[in-house]
Amino acid sequence: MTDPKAPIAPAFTTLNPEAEAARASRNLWLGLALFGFVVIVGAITAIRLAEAAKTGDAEFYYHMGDKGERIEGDGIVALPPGMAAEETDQAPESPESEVETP
Amino acid sequence: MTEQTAPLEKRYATAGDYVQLLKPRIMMLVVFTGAAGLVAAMGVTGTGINPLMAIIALLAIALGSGGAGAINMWYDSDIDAIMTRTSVRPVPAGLVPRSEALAMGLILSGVSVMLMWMASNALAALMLAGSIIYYGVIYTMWLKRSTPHNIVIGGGAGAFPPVIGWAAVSGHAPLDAWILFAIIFFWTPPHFWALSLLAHGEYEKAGVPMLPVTHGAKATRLQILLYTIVLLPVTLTPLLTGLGGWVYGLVAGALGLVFLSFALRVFRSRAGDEGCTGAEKKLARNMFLFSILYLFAMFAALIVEHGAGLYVPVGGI
Repeated sequence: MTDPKAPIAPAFTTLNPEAEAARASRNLWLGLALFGFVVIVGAITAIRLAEAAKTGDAEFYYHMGDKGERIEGDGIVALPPGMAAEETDQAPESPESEVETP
Repeated sequence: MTEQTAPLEKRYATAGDYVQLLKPRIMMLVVFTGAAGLVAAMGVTGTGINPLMAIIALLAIALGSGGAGAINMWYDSDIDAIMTRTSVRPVPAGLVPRSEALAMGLILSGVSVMLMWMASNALAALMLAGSIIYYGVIYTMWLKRSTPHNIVIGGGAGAFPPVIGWAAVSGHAPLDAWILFAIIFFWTPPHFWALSLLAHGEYEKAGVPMLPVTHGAKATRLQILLYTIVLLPVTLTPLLTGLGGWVYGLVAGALGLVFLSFALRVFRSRAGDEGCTGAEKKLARNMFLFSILYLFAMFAALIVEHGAGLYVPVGGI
């Protein structure tokens, strides 16, 4: 009867040179594919951000208040799409500021 | 420590074997028709797309096609092993395990849809996902082994790329995009049946109910002719809608007549019959090869017209 606490001898497989070369080649291509995927996702992100900067779509996020409302220099508060004026406490608390829904 | 030596095989799988799982020749035609849809959409709608985004959208179409091809190779490995033509594919040849083919197919399919969504829009991504399911599940797992209409209905999967390309640019899939779909849809049966006339013995051996197996070579030759007769007016509809101009019209008209003459000659021949001559077999093979050139040339004409500014309208409605 074998001792259950005895360490198990690991079984190693030694690849012959041809198998090793084939595996190295597959690994290289897999690595290149993964790298390419990362580059593509990065490129898409960069292009999307550049396009958004051109159209001003991204500008919203640079002037956003705590409630997600757009705050501009002249005190005008514009709400993000789908947000009602009642949902923000900006309008009742600051009577001098206007609330615009885009 | 126990040491084992891997059994010596005739050769080991290379990256090229994994590329073969993606059916690269089909992929090339799919990418080309997708590119034609993309360029035509830019020309017709006047909508632009960032060139890099267009390339990524085409890459997504290629990966989607490859993913669906790998799923097909995974599922069909049993019948591929029976047929001589397909027995050298990586899975039946024992180079790539079935599980790896499936994993590769699923991963590439998922990545392709995600990339398409990121690079273009949800409509194009959803249609890409739909075409992968159409080919990988509806055609491969259901139609192929159950009905002689497998190629007719399954041809819809290969007809999607120009619509996807169009949607990637414009975010819509209007009539013109579906005309391109129809051209490939009606082109697929005569294209594939010309080949299956030569290989029907193989399909019979594998139990795949291709038309020549279930209805015989004569009925198949008739269907090739009928589908070609339907295909010709379909290829000319871009002239009516204004999608195709003079260049397209000349290419589609001239090559369409050549394709029709092939279909007529195949119909009159005994190609696929027991004891048909080598010349008759060659005729069916030439029709198959010409069909690829025919489709390629029509879509190339659209790319030239809308991409190189050679579009001159014929009239249209």
